[in-house]
Formats: sequence, C-alpha cells, structure tokens
Amino acid sequence: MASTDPFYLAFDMSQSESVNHKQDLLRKIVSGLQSATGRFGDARMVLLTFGEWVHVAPATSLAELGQLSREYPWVGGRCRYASAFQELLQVIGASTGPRSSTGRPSPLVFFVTDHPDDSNWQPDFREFVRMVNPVLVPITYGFAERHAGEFMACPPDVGVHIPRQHDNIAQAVVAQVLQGIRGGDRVSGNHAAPEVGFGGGAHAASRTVEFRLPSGADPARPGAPAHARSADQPTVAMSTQAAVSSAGGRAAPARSAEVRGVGTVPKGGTAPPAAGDDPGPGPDSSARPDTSPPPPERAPTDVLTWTGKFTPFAVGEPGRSGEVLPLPDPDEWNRPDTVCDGVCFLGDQGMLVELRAASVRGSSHRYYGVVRQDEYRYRRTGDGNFLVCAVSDGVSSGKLSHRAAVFITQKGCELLAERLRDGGPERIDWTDLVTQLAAGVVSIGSTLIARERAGVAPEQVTPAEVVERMAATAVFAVVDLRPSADGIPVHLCSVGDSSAWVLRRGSTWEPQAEVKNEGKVIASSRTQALPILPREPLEPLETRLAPEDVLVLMTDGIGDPLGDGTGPVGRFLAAEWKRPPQALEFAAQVDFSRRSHDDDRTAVAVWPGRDR
Amino acid sequence: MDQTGAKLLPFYLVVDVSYSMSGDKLDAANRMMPQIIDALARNPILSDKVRFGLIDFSDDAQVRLPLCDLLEPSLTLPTLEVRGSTSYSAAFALLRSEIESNVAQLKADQYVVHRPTVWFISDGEPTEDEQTWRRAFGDLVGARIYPNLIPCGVDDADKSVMGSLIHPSSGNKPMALYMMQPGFDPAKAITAMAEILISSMIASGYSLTSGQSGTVLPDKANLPAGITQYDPDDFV
Repeated sequence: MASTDPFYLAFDMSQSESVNHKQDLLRKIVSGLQSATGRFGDARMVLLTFGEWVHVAPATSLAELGQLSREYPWVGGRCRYASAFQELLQVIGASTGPRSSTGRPSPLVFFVTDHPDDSNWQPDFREFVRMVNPVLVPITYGFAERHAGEFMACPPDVGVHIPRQHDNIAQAVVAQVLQGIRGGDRVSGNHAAPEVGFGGGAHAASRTVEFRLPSGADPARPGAPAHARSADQPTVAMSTQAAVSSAGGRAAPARSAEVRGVGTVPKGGTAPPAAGDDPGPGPDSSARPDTSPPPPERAPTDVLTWTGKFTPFAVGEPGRSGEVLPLPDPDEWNRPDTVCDGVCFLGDQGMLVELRAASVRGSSHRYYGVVRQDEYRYRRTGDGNFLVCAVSDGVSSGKLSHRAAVFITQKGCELLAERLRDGGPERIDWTDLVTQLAAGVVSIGSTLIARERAGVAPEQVTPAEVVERMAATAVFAVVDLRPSADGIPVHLCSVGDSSAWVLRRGSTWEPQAEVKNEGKVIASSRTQALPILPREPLEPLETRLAPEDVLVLMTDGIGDPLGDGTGPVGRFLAAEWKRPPQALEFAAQVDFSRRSHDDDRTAVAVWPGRDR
Repeated sequence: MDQTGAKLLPFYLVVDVSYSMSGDKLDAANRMMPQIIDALARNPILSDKVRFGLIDFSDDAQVRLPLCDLLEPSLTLPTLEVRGSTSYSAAFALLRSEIESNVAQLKADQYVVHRPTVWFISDGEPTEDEQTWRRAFGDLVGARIYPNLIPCGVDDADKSVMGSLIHPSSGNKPMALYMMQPGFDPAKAITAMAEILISSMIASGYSLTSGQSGTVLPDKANLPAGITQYDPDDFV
C-alpha cells in the first residue's frame, strides 16, 4: 500500500476559552509533531481547524509542518461538530474515493476538541463514519468529559480525555497522536518502513488499538514505573469497550463514558490485546495486533520552555460579544486598538504614587471595525509637585470624535501643568480651561472638515457642524505629590459622563459625582460633551487618598458596568486593584467581558506609593 | 447569574391576526420571527442586548412570546393563527400592562432598561368604535414607561388611522409610519416590514454605544421596495 496516506488532525478552534489559548495549543502540538520527523519520516498530516466553519490545510509532511502559517486560521465562533464531520467527509472522500470498493486502509483521524456548541451533530458523525470507515481517535480536553462519551457510540470505541488540570495538554496530545501513528504501523505488522494508517484488512483489529499515555510522556522520567503516574499527572484515557488498564489489567468491558485512570504501561512495555478485542473469524486473522514491544517512544522535549499564561477576564456571563472578530477601522490604521501604561513616580523618600492606565476598544467597535474613541494622558509637572491625569470619551456618533479625545487629554494635561506653575490646584479656573479646550476642538474640527470639502475655508465651518462630527467628554485629576500629613490631596473636574471614583481602603467604590442613570426608570446614554460648554460654571471636587485608597478615572465603558460599585463588577475590580497589577494585566482587566457591555473602556488608576 | 447593570433594549412585535390576515399574509407574518432570530444570531453585539416579545390581537390580544432572549436554545416559536375581528384597544391595553410589568421585573433584576420599541402591524381598520381604541392608545402612550411606537400598515390599513399611532410624533426623535404602497403584494410588504424592523434594531443597538439613546429608524433612502415612510409632519 502507499505509505503516504496522510493522517488527519481535526482541531477545534472555536471560541470557548480564548483564541490565543487555542492558537497557542495548536502551535505547540504542531511543533511537537514536527520534532518527531526523524521517527516518522513518511508521515503526512492534513490539518483541519474548525469552529463556526472549517479550514483545511494541504497535506504536509511532519518536517514541513513549520510551513503552515504561524497564525493558524481562526475560525472562531461556535464549535460545530456537524460542520467538522461534513468537511472531513468531503476531504477524505475527495482524496481517496469510496472506501468500501477500493479496500484502501481506513484513514486515521484525530479529533481534538474541548466541547461542542451544537447539539445535533450525531447524524453527520454517523454519516462520516459510514462513508469513510475511519479510525477515529477523539482527544478531548478541558470541560469535554460529558461529550467525549458520545463518540464512543461509534468505532473505534477508544478515546482519550485530558482533564483541564493537566499541566501540558499539548504534550499529551502530541504523545497520543504519535502513539496513534505508530500504533497503526504496529498493527499493520510493518516495522520495516514506518507508515501511517492501519494496514489493509486489519481494520477490525485496529478498532481496539488502545491509546494510552505512554509513561514516556514525562520526558524527565523515561521508564517510570506504571504506578508512578497518579493524581498529580491526571491524564486519563477514556474507553468504552476494551481498555487496557494499568499494568495490563482489564478494564470493565461495559460501555460507559466515565473517565478513569489508565495508561501507565512502563515505557517500552507490552500492550496486550484488549479484552473483547477479538474480531472473530475474519478474512485475515493475521491482522491481530502484534504484541511485540513497540519501538521506544521519546516524547518531544521542546514544548515546555516558558512560563506564564493568559486567561481573559469575564465578570458573570461574558455574552456573545466576546466572540466577535475584531476588525480594524479602514480609515484609522494609525490608531491602536489598545494602549496601556504602568509607571511609578519617585520622590526623595522613594515611591510617591504608582499609576496604571489602559484604553481598550470595546467589542462593539471591534465588531463594526470602528476606531477606539477613548483616550487618556498623564504627566508630572516640571517642578515634580503634581501629577495630572486626563480621560476622555469621544461621542461615537461623530466620525472624528477620537481626535477630540486625543486633543482634550493631551492639551488638557499641558494646560494644567502650565497653570500649576503659577499656583496651586485650588487656583485653577476650570471653566476657563475647559473653554480653551472647547475652542481648540472647534478649531481642529473646522480644519478637518474644511479639508474634506473643496473650496471651503475652516472659518466657514460652523461650530454646530463640528459638534455633529467631533465631541468628547473629559475628566481631569490633579494629584498633589508634595509631602502631606493626612493623605494625598486630589482635585477633580469633569464634563460629561466620564467619572472619577475612589476605591476606599481597597474595598468600597465612592463616586466623586452623581452616578449616571441612578434612580431612573428608563435609562439613557446621552451625555454632555465638549466643545459644547456646560451651562453652569465648573466646580472642582476635592478629595484625599489614604494609603489604602485608589483613585480611578474612567469612561462610561467601565462606569456603566460598575454602576454604583456594589455589583459584581465593583467587587471584581476592587479585588484586582487592591494593589497595582502589571500594566498588561491592568489592560486585560479593563477589557473584561460582560454581557451587553461593549463600549470602549479607559481607566487611569493612581495608588499612593508604598514609601510615602 | 448576576446581571446587575446589563443593558437591555426591549422590542415588542404586535401583529394583527384578524380573519383578513389569513393566507399569504399570515404566512409572511409567521416568517418574521425567524427572520429576526437570524439577524440576531449573526450579530453578537446586538443579541447581547435585545429582548423580544410577540403579541397578537384580534377580538382579544394575547402574549404569544413573553419578552425574552430570542437566542435561548430552549425557545420555541409560536405559530400565529387568525381568529376574529380587529380590536386595537385590546392590543394597546395588553401592551401597556406587559411593558409595565416587564420593565418592573427587569429593573428588579438590576438590568438597565432602555425605552421599549413597539412595531405594530395591521392590515385593516379597527372594527370597534374609535373612542374605545383612542382611549386605550392614550393610556399606552401617556404611561410613565411609554414605548416608541412604529405603526406598519399593509393591504387595507388606513393611512391616517395608522399615522395617528406614531409615537412620539414630536420632539427630537419622532417615530414614523411604514405603509405598503397601493397595489403591492401585502405578504411581501410584511416581509419588507421585518427587514425595516431589523435594520432599525441593528442601528438602535449600535447607538447605545454611540452616546445616543432610543430607537433609530433606518435611512429613508434605503427602504425596501413597496414601502413608503411617512413622518408625523406628513399628517398635520
């Protein structure tokens, strides 16, 4: 037979944990398989990634797996087993023709998944099995226990489940795949030339090929005794028919989907034929499994060279918007989706305050391909006495609003620093400052709008036209860094619904102004925004930060889900922000998922320094 | 699960099921909800926020689908059937009590509820005396939690009667009437109304993030064939 029949790796790339997590997992699996090139020179693999739809890569030899894109296609969305099996049927059927008439070997298919989102995939699965007669090895991980059993209703009645606590899922998957490839070779009785697939006529026997975790999956401990792998390495195999349990003992032959520990034959040990394995009188009884020891297996060793892990944050139900494909804004290539900072400000006595800031595009703008309209800036005054912070939220009905947000935060910080040179924060004329910013917005807006219209001078553009296209909220803070006996004085001022809060003693959210929509029966998301000036003169608020307090300026992208601060989002952020997190972690926390909250989000948080 | 602070956009579709609606028109009306569900399934931004309820009316009005998340896997859609004459007052009275109790419940569950939108589809004039349904209409739009009401008239619906149901009909965000053009296929007109409803729902969902609020109607230039939009000013 041709030794070049490929095997198939169907990999679930749906959005169940995070796409990064799955891309990372697949990358490690591919790298692990690639490193086995020496032992399976002829093996070729067809990679299918599936989710909402299916992507099929061309058959590739293990050595050339690296040529598959480093960014595996994100098919994303919901995990549809039905589509995956339909596509497998297409791909395998197309490449080999009808199976029954040709007598070709059964194709070997590895099906790696955490769990399906569709419920009625069994008909497509059965059709695939009927037409292709595959040797199908489901390898499930994570939360798939309850689904893995459903595969057992079809041959080869063997599967593997890797529990979510397992410390290296990629390595376990690689070990299973290599075992499977080699197992096919072993069953075919062909040791001379390693090949993929199960030998012709050997299918009945191959159905009971037992995939167990080789003890060699722990590369540090070759030949570890069978019982050495225990609860601390909780990879377990699933089987409903015959399974070889530890040390060749017999597992219950009954069909069941329960997960039980298996798989601890010492490296290089014997894999006895499993009970219930006998295909009965068949045309080719030589197809029985060869019980001679398989060649020693070396698990890939290059898959554990880093530490760290990222899991996206979600509060309560993440909602479907967590699944969106983030699209760029075609007109705004020059503006990042997410920005963040983590800095501390030092004085003679050590750290005065620590600052974290992040501005992230909301899932709505990601979905619709619209630019991030939030912005922040901060700076320390030249004399080192003050830290000024600004947060602004561009009103998104205006196409140019993000430019207003950039201007207001940047120019606002500059103007504040200037005015603080001439006196303390209590002497700042906020109304005058905001008026100057509004004039700046109108000036920039007129220029931009005039540029779009041939023959129109900026002076001909009316402020009303600017407001249509470009408006943004503002909230400013002046943090006094000078030594002070009772807490850090903070001056605050805002226009519109971007807000300032103090997380008191790391536990209670205290709004520094009236909370939006509080007490209203019907909510509204209208807000005041520059360049429209508030009717009343602006009155700054003054507060003080005790050592355990945190000052947070935010846009309504966080303010709305925070509500009055007593709900789940308030508890989440209070717990995470008791101490300053890493800058990237802070950004990820600002980017938490929660159903229906899909606006851009920006937060600037200031912690009193430890040395203060 | 604790949904404190989750934003909700409630929509009610109110469909006339008097005898005149039988045949193609009813079939088209029964296809509206699947059309809407398809649109929601394609747009996760929208489906996270939209709640939908279905009410039908004839001699009486009935809640056929209580306000819900249309993508709930356990949902089964009701089938509309014709059953009698045309009482607008029954529809308005039921709407009023539904909206009031739904919003109260959602508020109690800590949701942030935006103003409900009602799409009201009828193919004829009310068969009750005018004073009765006018009073019920006044109660509905005079309530504290009044809805934005968008009437849609097909077939024999009367333009001026339907036009008087637009609410609000003044202020900075007036609603509008959608009327089938004379001679157009009424079943196709109902399908077109569903398309308009869906465009409006998508625009309204997006406007929540845009610092705006309320029901956004689709661009007048992009209406499907066979439908004319009338604004409240057209009836002065």
